[in-house]
Amino acid sequence: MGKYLETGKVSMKAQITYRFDVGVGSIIPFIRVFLAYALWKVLFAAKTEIGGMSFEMMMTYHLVASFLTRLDQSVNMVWDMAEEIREGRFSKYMVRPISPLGHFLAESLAKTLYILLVTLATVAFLAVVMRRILVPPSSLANLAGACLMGFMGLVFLSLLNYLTALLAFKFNDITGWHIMKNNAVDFLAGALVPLSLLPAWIQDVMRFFPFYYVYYYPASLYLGLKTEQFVTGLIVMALWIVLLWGLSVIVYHRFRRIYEGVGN
Amino acid sequence: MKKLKRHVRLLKMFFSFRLSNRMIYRASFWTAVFVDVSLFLIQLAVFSVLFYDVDSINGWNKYQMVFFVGTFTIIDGLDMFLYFFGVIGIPAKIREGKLDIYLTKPVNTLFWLTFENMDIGSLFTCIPGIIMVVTASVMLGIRITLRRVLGYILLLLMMIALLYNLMLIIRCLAFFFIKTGALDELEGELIGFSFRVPGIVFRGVAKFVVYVLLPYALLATIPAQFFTDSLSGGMWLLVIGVAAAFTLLAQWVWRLGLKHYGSASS
Repeated sequence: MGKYLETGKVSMKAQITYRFDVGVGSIIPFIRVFLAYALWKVLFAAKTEIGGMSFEMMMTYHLVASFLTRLDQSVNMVWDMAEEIREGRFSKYMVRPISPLGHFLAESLAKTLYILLVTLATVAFLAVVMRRILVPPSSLANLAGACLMGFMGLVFLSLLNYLTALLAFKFNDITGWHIMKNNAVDFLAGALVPLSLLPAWIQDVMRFFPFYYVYYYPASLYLGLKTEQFVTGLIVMALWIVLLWGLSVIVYHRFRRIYEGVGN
Repeated sequence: MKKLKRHVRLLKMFFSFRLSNRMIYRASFWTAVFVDVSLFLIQLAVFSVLFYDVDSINGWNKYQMVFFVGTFTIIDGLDMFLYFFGVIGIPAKIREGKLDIYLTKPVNTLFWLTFENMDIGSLFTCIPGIIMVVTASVMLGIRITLRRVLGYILLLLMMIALLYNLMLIIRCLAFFFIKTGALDELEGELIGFSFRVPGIVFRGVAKFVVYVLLPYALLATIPAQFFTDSLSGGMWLLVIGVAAAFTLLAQWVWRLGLKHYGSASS
């Protein structure tokens, strides 16, 4: 465990070096909320409710979803890991007494922790400025549930991104796969629009897939919506995390055999 | 004139070199097509969900929206074809000192960097865009005149140039800062949003921000507004002014960045 903590510490220190990048990243929720406000203000002009949400709930949804989206740092780590594999620099992880998956997760979670501290300040500021058009958490229990679901969502995304990076062993260039996957995840997880705007039968199907619980469900839970789905959500997410974990281990052991370690 | 001919010749060379390169790696060629088409489909899905039960937005009806999405798809396809992959590669070249080789060649560095990675596959993305634009025009019953078509093409070209300048300014910040990944993310947000939402929804300060300071909302809105409705003289002036200002700004930031460039130690 100590070695993973050390990995996390090193990763956090590296984040401090990139202050400009982290600073710019922390204003992304501002931009998202500003753009969402402009859009939904117009769409709500003739309506009081869209997709089961009032204007205030919609704005809160976007703030929570953009905060969670910002926390996923593993998505950017795919580029680095794929490049290391492509250029033969991945060999260092194979000779170290540390699991590449553990290393990836430790680094990803440490980055998330740092971003959490920085972005929390931005979100808190936004919450104060926009208090008239935001709604507070429906209850402390729902807030805790949303945090737990959000954390599980981040672990799931880290595993998914690790698996995507592993594809670089087999395929030389994974840029296309990664971009396609990101676009799909953003839509399916509710980062672009709340999933409650989709037809009910699609939502029913989506409840068996993990993306539903990554951004959409924690934000809904925060608002006090769909609370009855919490236990099902926990089970579905836990199953998907175990499945992806197992798949990551198998794929790594299979693909490492075809790795030549010389780069191209 | 001689200089222009030389650059056209270079452009042809970049194109044929990239075409043969892409055809060697056919999987990559088709992957780019799939990526573009998937992006288009997702944006279309978001658009459909957003405007599912809304008849008009600030006076724009459904087919004007379709025209707007078609226009953005064409802009997106053309920018990916022409300069997108060249420009996004600039920060890595600055960081790793690979810019040296470009600076020592007897070719305009920025021209080379911009067009060296043209992506032929992205041109396919324009096809659904053109289909949407034509369908929307028919459904709106627009009388097609030469003036309207030429004005639309002119505005489309201006917006492609504006997008290029916006992209370049962001990439040039890599001359001054080690890591600029969050800026890419920020840009992705703004471009993604301007794809989904026409600029006409903005009012007051918000409009000033997305039309002048971060003019992403102009990109598809202005050509679509011109073709399907009308564009006032004031708006023409604003668009020309913003496009010219960002061209000058991009050139200035690029030159400033080059002065700051310290080879591999950047």
